[in-house]
Amino acid sequence: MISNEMEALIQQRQQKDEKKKKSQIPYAAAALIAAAILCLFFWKSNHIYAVYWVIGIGFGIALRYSRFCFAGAFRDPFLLGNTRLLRGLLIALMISTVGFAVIQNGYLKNNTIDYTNIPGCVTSVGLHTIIGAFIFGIGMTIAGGCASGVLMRMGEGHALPLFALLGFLIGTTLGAKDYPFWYDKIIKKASTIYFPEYMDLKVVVIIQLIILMCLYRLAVWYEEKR
Amino acid sequence: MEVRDLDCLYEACPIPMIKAIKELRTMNSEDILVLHSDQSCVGVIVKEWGQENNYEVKVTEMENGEWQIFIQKP
Repeated sequence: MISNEMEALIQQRQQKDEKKKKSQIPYAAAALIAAAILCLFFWKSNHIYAVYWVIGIGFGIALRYSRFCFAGAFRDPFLLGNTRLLRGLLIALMISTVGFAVIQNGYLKNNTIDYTNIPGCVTSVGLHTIIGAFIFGIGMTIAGGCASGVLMRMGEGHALPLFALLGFLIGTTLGAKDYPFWYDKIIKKASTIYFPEYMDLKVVVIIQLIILMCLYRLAVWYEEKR
Repeated sequence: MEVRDLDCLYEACPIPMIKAIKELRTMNSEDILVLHSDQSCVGVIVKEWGQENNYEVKVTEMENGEWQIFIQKP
């Protein structure tokens, strides 16, 4: 399917750069051995860390080969009219809605509602969420990716995301230092809404799934319109 | 048949794509644009975009971590 002239050009350029490619297999073998040794070390000290380690590496591999990008999910519809990543994100949200509902249902049967102990994150929503999201969006565009994308690229071997990681550290430290300011001004007055307190969990799950499915339809319609 | 090189090394993920699209608009039919990039995602999204808009795209990795993406206008 590629035209002959393009093939010829590629051949010509590849011959020029034949010698430059170094094999990276030794580095890969060293990294694999290091990961295996760390896994054993975690297993000895605390079993659950080894599980986290393996699951984390699994996430990284899945992200790398599926080319899933959270930043791209919100950027591509505006830039390219392509909603593939956004639709993928919506499906992921649907699955995690059902998953977390199952987990929280199991938890709530035996315990009372206590915001700090419920699996999954139940915190207040308010102006601080909007401000935080806006700042995150700016940082995400400059760094060229979301938190998971940055970490995934570092695992791939890029050096540039290291600066983004430095940004994570500086940002979270500053956030922790300034937390009392935000708490007094905004977070204290914000309310926490946890739906199972007002209605049955199954109803909440169904409503959320319906909303997500409508958004999915919207995304499909938007892409076909372009 | 003109061959143009667009150097987008060290630029964050969407930028090479935007520059390539802008550059392709100014080129004539049958011209080839060679996009240099060091992001692995750029190759994939350019390929997808090429399939949608009927451009021919080939992604090659010349050096470890540096991709050259050949795009030809139909």
